[in-house]
Amino acid sequence: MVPPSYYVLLSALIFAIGLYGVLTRRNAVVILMCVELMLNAANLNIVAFAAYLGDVTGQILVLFALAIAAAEVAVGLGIFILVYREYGTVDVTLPRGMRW
Amino acid sequence: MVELGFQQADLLPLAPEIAILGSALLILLIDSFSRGKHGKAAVAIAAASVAAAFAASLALYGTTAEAFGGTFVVDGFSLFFNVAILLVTALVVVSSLDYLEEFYPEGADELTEYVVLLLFATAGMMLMASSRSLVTAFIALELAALPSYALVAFAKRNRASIEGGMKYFVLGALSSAFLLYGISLVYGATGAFDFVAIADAIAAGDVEPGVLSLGSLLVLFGLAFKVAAVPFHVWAPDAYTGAPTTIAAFVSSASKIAGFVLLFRLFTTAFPAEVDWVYAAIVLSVVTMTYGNFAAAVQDSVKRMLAYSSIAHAGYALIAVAVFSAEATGDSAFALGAGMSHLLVYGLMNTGAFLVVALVDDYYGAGYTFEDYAGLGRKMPAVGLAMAVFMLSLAGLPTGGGFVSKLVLFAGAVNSGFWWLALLGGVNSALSLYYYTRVLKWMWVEEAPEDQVELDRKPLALYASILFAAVATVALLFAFAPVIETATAAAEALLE
Amino acid sequence: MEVPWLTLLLTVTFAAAVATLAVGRYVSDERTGHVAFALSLAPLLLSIYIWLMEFTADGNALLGADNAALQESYSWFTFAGYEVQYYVGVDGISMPLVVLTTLLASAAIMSAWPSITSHRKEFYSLVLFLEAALIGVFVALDLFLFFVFWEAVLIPMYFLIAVWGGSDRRYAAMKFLIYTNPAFLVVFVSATALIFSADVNTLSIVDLTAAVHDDALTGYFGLTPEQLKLAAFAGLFIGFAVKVPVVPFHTWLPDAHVEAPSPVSVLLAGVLLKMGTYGLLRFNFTVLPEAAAAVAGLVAAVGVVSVIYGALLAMAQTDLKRIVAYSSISSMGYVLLGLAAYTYYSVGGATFQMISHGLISGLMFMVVGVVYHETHHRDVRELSGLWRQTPVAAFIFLAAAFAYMGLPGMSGFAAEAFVFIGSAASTTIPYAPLVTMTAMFGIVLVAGYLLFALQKTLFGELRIGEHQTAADGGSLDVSDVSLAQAVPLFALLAAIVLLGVQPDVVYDVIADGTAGVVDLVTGGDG
Repeated sequence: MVPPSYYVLLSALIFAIGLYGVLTRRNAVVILMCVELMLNAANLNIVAFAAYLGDVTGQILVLFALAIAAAEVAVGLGIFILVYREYGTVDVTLPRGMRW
Repeated sequence: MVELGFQQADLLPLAPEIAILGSALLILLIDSFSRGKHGKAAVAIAAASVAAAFAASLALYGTTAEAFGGTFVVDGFSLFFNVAILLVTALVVVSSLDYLEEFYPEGADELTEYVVLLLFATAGMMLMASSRSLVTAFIALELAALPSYALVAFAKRNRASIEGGMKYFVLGALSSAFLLYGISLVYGATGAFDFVAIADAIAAGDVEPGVLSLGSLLVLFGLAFKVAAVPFHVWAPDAYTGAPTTIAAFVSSASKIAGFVLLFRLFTTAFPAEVDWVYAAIVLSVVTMTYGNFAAAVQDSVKRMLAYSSIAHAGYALIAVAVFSAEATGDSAFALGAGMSHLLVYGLMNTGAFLVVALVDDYYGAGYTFEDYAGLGRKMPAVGLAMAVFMLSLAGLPTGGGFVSKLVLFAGAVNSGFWWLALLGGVNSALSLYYYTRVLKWMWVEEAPEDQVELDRKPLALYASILFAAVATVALLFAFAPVIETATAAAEALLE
Repeated sequence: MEVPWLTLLLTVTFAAAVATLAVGRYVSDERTGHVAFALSLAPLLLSIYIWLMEFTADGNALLGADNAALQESYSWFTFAGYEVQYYVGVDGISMPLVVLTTLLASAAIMSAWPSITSHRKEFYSLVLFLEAALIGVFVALDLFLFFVFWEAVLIPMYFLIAVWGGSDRRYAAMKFLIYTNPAFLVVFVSATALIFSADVNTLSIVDLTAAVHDDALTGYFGLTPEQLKLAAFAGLFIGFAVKVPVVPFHTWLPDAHVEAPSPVSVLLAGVLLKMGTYGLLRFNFTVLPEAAAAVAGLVAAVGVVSVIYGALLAMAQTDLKRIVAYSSISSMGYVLLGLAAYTYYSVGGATFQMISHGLISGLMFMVVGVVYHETHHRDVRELSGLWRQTPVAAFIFLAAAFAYMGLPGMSGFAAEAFVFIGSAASTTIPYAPLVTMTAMFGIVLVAGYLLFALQKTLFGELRIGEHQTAADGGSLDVSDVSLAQAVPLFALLAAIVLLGVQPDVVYDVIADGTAGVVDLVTGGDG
C-alpha cells in the first residue's frame, strides 16, 4: 500500500502548481483551470485520508466538492463571457475601471 | 460511522431554510411553466417566504435540535444569525422592486432570476449558520457564494458590475480552494469533519499538530476572505462598488455576517484555544480595522467609502474572535455575544446606508461622489435623516444601536483584558467619524447646486426599506436588551 | 403618585426640540425663534421648579444610595452580568448645572434671533436637542447612560458649528469631533476597566463608587488594585481634560469658538466645558480620591499652567472671540486647582466657578455676538469708540469683563475667592500657598488683556473697520442692543450679580454636595 504521505506530497505539489498558475497567468480561463487544479489537490488529499482512515465521509465530501466545482465553472464561465463581450478579451488585468 | 437517515420530525427545525429554498424553487417552477414574466409576483413570494422564515426562526427560538447526523444544528446561535441575515434579505428584496427597473432596465425582465439567486444565497448563508461539520459548512458556503458571484455581475451591460463580478469570482474560487485544502488537512489530522469530533480528537491529543495548525490556518484564511478581512479583502472594494447597489448591500452585510457565524462556530466548537491561531485573529482584527478606516477616509465615491467602511467593521467584529479565542478570563461569552450583537446592528445600518446610495446614485442618478450629495438632506429630509442615523450609528455615536453594540464590544474586550485592543478599536472608530460625517456634511451643510437632478419621483419600496432600516436602527438603541441578552445566552451555550 | 421629575424634564426638552421642527413648518421664519424660545421656557421653568420645590438632596449623589434626590431607575439591558440601567438623580453639584443649562439654552435661543437667518427651525431644534443631551449628562447616574448623553452632545454640536458657523466652520466642526471622541473612548476604557474589576453587578456610578471606596477591587490583568486606580485616574483625567480643555489638549477650543455662531459659543463655553470638569469632579475626584490625592500636586500644576498659559495666549489675540475662548481655558484652570486642593472651600469654589464661569462666559459671548452682528468685526484693531454709539452693549461688555476679572460683587469674585482661600490651605498640594499665589497671578493677566480689549474697542474715536467718523459726534450705521436682545443679557448679568452678592443661594447647595468629596481625603477636617 502506498503510504498516505505520498498522496499528501503529491497533492501539495498539485496545489502549489495551481497556485502558481493563478498568480502568474492572466487569462481568466487558465486561472479557472488552475483553481480547479487546487480544488482537485484538496480532493485528492481527502480521498487519500478517507482511504487511510477507512472513513466514508471524506469520499462523500469529495463528491459534493466535484459537483460544486462544476457549478463554479458554470458561473465562472458565464461571467467570463460577459467580460469577453465587453472587453473583447478574458485577460483579468484589463478590466480596471475602479481604482484600488 | 455517521448515521445519515433522518425522520420527518427532524425537518421541523429546518423550517426557515425550507421556506426560503422552497419559495426559490417555486419561483423557478412558475417561471418555467408560464409565458410571461412574473417579476413582481416573484418578489411577493420571496418577501412572504422571508417573512415566514423570520417568523419560524423566532418561533423556533429556545429549541435545540440536530439533523443529518449532527452535521446540522439548530440552536440559539444559528437562529440569532438567521434573524440577522433575514432582516438584510428582506430589506434587499423589497427595495429591489424599484431599484432594478431604474438602474438596470433590461434586467427588470430578469427580476425572477435575481430574486431566485438572492433566495438561494440567503439559504446558503442560513445553512452556514447551522453547519456543524466542515462538509455542510463547505457546501453551504458555496451555496451562498455562487449566486453572489452571479448577482454582483448581474448588470450585464455595466462594465463596473462585470469587473466586480469577475474579481469577486476569481478570488472567491481561489479562497474556496484554500478552504477545501485546509479542510482536507484538518480531516487528515483529526480524522473528522464534525466540529465536536474534531475538538474531541484534538483534546485526545491524537493529532498531527503541524498538519492541524496549517489546516486550521488555511480554513481561517478561507473564511477571512468571506468576511473581507485585510489582507484577504482585495476583491471587496471592487465587488461592492461594481455590484448593483442593493447587491452590494446584501453581500457586504449578509454575506459578511454569514462568514462570521461560521468563523465563530468553527473556532469556538472545533478548534479550542490550544490551537494557536489567536495571534492570527488579533493581527487580522487590528490590520483590518485600521486599513479599512484609512482607505475609507480617502475615497471620493460614497459607495466605495461604504465598501471600505464595511471592511473596517469586519475588523471590529474580529475583536470578538480574538477575545473569545484567548479565553483570558472565561468571560469570553460576553465578547462573543457583543460581537454577535454588533453584526446584527451592523447588518441593518450598513444595508440602510447602501440603500440610500442606491436611491441617490442609481435611482435618481445624482452621481456617486460626495459632492453629488450636496444639499440632498434638505431636499429629502426623511432620507437625509435616515442617512444621518446610519452614518452616526456606524461611527458609534448614539443615534442608533451601533453606539451600544460597539461600546459593548469594546467593553467585552476590556473585560477579557484586551483593553489595548479596545483602545485601538476606539481610535479607529474616532477616525471613522471623519468620513462618515463627510457624507452628512455634504447632505446637510452644503447647499444644493442649481443643476442638480430632479428628485420628483418617490420610489415607494426603496423609501420604505430605508425608513424601516433607520427606525430599526434607532429602536435598537433603546431596545437593546433582547439583542444582547439573546446573543449572550447563545454564546454561552456555544462555549459550554 | 411620585412624579418622575427628571425624566419629565428630559422629555419636555426633547419634545420642545421636536415641536420646534414640527411647528417651524407652519410659522413664518422670523417667528420660529419666538416659538423656540417659548418652548425653551418649559424646561427652564420646570428645572427651576424642580430645584425650588422638589429638590431635597443634601449629600453627594455618589457617596450613598439615597443621597441623590429624585432618583429613578429602570433596567435597560444586561451585559456580562452587569445591569445597565436608566438611572437618574440630582444632587447639589448637578442641580445647579442643570439649571445653568436650561437658563443658558433659553438665553442663547433668544440671542440667536437676529443673527441666525438661515434654516432657523433646524437651528433652534438642534439647540434644544443639545440642551436635552446636556441635562442628561448632568442627571445620569448610570455609567452607560452617562456615556450615551455624553456622546449625544457631539451630534447637535457638530451640526451647529458646521452649518451655521463662520468661514472655516467645516474644519472646526471636524476638529471638535476628532478631538473629543477619542477622549471619550479613553474615558470609556478606563471606566469599564474599573467596573470590571470592582465587585458590582450594575453600571451604577453610585455602586461603583461604593465598591472602589470599600476596596472591593480585584486587580486587572497584572495591575494591582492600587495601580489600577492610578491607571484609571490617568485615563479618565486625560479624557476629561480634552473636554475641559486643559493645556495641552486645548487646541480644538479656539477653533470651535471662533467658527461657531455666537449663540452656540454661549453653550459651548457656558455648559460644554463644564462637562469636562463635572466628569473630573465626579469620577477622578469622587470615585478615585486616593489616586487624586496622590497626584494632586501634579493636577494643581496642570491647573496653574492652564491658568497662566491660557491667559498668556489670550493676551496675544486680537479676535474678541479668541480672547474669550482662551480666557475660558484660563478660568477652567482654577477649577482644576480647586478640585486638587481638596478643601471644603476649594472644591465648593471650583464647582461654584463652573456655574459662575458658565454665566459670565455665556454673557461675554452673547455681547461679542451682538457687537459682531452689528459691526461685522470682531478684531479689536478694527473697532474703537463703540461706547458712543452702543452704550448698552458697551455697558454689558464692561460688566462682563469686570465679572471675568473678579470684581467684588460679581460671581467671579466669589468663585475665585473660594478657590483661593480653599487651596491656600490645602494639605494635598505641596507648597499650597505658593501654588495659589501663582494662580492668582492669572487674575492680573486677565485684567491686563481684558482692559486692553475694552479700552481698544469701547473708547476713543468711533471707528469700525475702514469706516471712521470725526471725533465731533458723527455716527455710523450701527444700532444698539434691541429690547429682545437686552433681555437675555440683563438676565444673565442679574444672575451674575446675584451670585456675587449672595453666593450662598447656590453655594450652600454646592457645599452640601461637595463636602462629602473632601471628607474622603481629609477625613472630615478639610
